[in-house]
Amino acid sequence: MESRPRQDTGTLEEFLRSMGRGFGGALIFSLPMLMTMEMWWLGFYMDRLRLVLLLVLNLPLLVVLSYHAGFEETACWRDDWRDAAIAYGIGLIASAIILSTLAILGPGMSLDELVGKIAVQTVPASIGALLAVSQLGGGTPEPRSSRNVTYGGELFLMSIGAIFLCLNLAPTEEMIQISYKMTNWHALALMCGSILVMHGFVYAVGFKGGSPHDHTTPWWSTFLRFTVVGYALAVLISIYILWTFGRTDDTGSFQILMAVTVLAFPAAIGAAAARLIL
Amino acid sequence: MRNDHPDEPRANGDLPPRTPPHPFEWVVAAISTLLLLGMIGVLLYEAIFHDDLGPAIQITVEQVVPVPPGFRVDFVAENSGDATAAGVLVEGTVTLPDGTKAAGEATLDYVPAQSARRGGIFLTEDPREHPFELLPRGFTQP
Repeated sequence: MESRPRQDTGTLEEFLRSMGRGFGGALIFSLPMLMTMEMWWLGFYMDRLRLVLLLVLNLPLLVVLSYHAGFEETACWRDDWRDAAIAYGIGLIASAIILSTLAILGPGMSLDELVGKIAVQTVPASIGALLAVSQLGGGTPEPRSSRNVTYGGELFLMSIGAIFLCLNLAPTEEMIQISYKMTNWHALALMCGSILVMHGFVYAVGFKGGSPHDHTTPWWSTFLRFTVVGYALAVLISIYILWTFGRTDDTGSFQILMAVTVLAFPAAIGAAAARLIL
Repeated sequence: MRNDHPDEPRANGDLPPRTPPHPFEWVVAAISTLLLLGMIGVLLYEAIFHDDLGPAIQITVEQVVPVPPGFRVDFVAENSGDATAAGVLVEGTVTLPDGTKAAGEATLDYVPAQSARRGGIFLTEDPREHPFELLPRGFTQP
């Protein structure tokens, strides 16, 4: 408890204001997905076990995210669990309200369909709720990045960025359609482009205060430890999200590789940008 | 968790010092590099030794289920070619003893290369009792 001092005691008014910010954030971050028809369809046809796995994995992810960029300066892990649960709840309620208002949820639908449609949207909305508070200038007087971020922490933040962009884009038909249109040379060019742009972000972070690498480190050290590792994370997360949404079922391994190359592009940008933003 | 001098190794040692990088960082970097080189290798290999034969689609009946008002034929379409086919039209025809035909059709949005996609058609006559044909009729390039 005493290892991380609280900045303020936290009044009810302040908490409600945080909740409001959370709702706003959930909307800003999840509206693109709430208004994508493939996401509604996924709600009723995606594999139930994979959906449950996604929902379960989202909780520890929110807890660690709360530690790095949460509602308030958390005093201990118990507070992070609490904030993660609140963000989850906000995401769920925000998704249910918006989907009902847009007539995506309505009478005559089975409970399974209703729950599925809300559940699949809850994951990005809850991440949005947590992130938004740090993004919209939450109550923390000093930015959370001043917390000394470990290498593992950096990789975690990159993963969050990758997961977020993957969730945005992976459900759309366009992802696989692009992979069907591309030749291998396109895929190779896209990979090189992704890594190049990513390294640009990594390099840009080098100018931000408190970055873990100083300018005396050779470029290849930063390139290997952040850019290449970040791209590898983007690839692994792309595979996981494609699998979760059933895009890898009955599909040849080479076609999966092509789809991964496509999705890893936004994932890599998300990963690299997350270090700059969060 | 706070440190006023982030670049200096900590005295209490609760976190690894920033410089030089922890060996763990190099292990992660090495694994990532291998993954990346593997991807590039596969893409290059396929790009150079690619035969470009186009799609080749074969339809196999998985099961016939009696459903009102007739029958449902579940099938799997397998593309053994090396190009993806879009809008694949699958047509099934039952020929009755008097020569009349009962037909059903389905369109698969995509059948990717080296992959399989499932679908079904509805028929008014039992395809197990009479001569039955289930064939792919055409496709477009994605």
